[in-house]
Amino acid sequence: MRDPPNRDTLGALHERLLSGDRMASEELSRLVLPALVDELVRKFPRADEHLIRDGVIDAVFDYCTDPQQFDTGREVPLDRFLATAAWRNVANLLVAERRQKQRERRAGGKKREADVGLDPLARNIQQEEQKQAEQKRQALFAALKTPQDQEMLALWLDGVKDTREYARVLKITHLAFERQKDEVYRNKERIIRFLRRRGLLS
Amino acid sequence: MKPEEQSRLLQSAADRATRRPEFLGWLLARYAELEKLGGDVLRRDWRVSMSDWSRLQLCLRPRPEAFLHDVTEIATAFDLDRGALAAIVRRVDAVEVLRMNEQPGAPGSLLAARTRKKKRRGPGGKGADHD
Repeated sequence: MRDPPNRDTLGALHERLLSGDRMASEELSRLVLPALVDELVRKFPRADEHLIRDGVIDAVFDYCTDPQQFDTGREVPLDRFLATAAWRNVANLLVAERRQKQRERRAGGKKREADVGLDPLARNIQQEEQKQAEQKRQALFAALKTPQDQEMLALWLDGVKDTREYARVLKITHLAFERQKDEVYRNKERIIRFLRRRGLLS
Repeated sequence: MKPEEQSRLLQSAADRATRRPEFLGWLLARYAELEKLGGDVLRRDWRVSMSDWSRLQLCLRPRPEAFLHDVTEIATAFDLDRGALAAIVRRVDAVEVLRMNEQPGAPGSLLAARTRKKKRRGPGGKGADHD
């Protein structure tokens, strides 16, 4: 780990910057950047090091171009002042990066949906799948002889669970509900077994 | 941080200084652009080492009110030709002033041809709208 810069040295550099010394920024950068980057890497262990470097460098540059922002009367040492400014910069950069990723994810999701709709190949595949499903459905109905069985099948393929719907088709609504349930179950099983025997259902 | 990491960090800082007009790095980068000097032609012309070039870029630009003093200090510290450094700063500053003062329509600038708006004819004239 690198030793923190000597505070007297930093104080002298601050005075030089205030007096307009053009080379003090270079000396200060050499002196504080490595220690600050090390410190911020420890504070943000999961963050990208380039992002941390940018935040730290910007904090030092901001101070160099406007050294009056550091108030010696507040008794906060210059290295801590710079560390706080760097921490704030890195935190802001991380938030901005997270928001950017969220925006990209949202935009990517919308684009994928649009691409499937617009891509002729994807559209062809969708159309082909729909066509195959419809042909299979028609084959199932054609295999059944009576309109009653076909209506039962239509309800089953549509995912209807209500016993009363099937009872209406079977014209057994006058029976006790328990009996309706038994009859509906028996007829559904009969139809499904028949279609399986024909190899039309798996 | 290892010494090579430190020099990479200073290089990153120098690169970032090329985007901050307050730094000498920005002036040197603009000059290279103006003169279409690729890579580090200027650094090699001035015979400055890579590490010193990064340090030079991290210096603040000379102040207009203390121009000669600041240029002399920087040139002495990096063993540069003071006149050459001053000329570069003056050149870039002059171009920047021109660029900032550039006004559309000022003498010397070109204007794109614009379609004239058709004059509306008065009431009762040919083609006037009637309610």
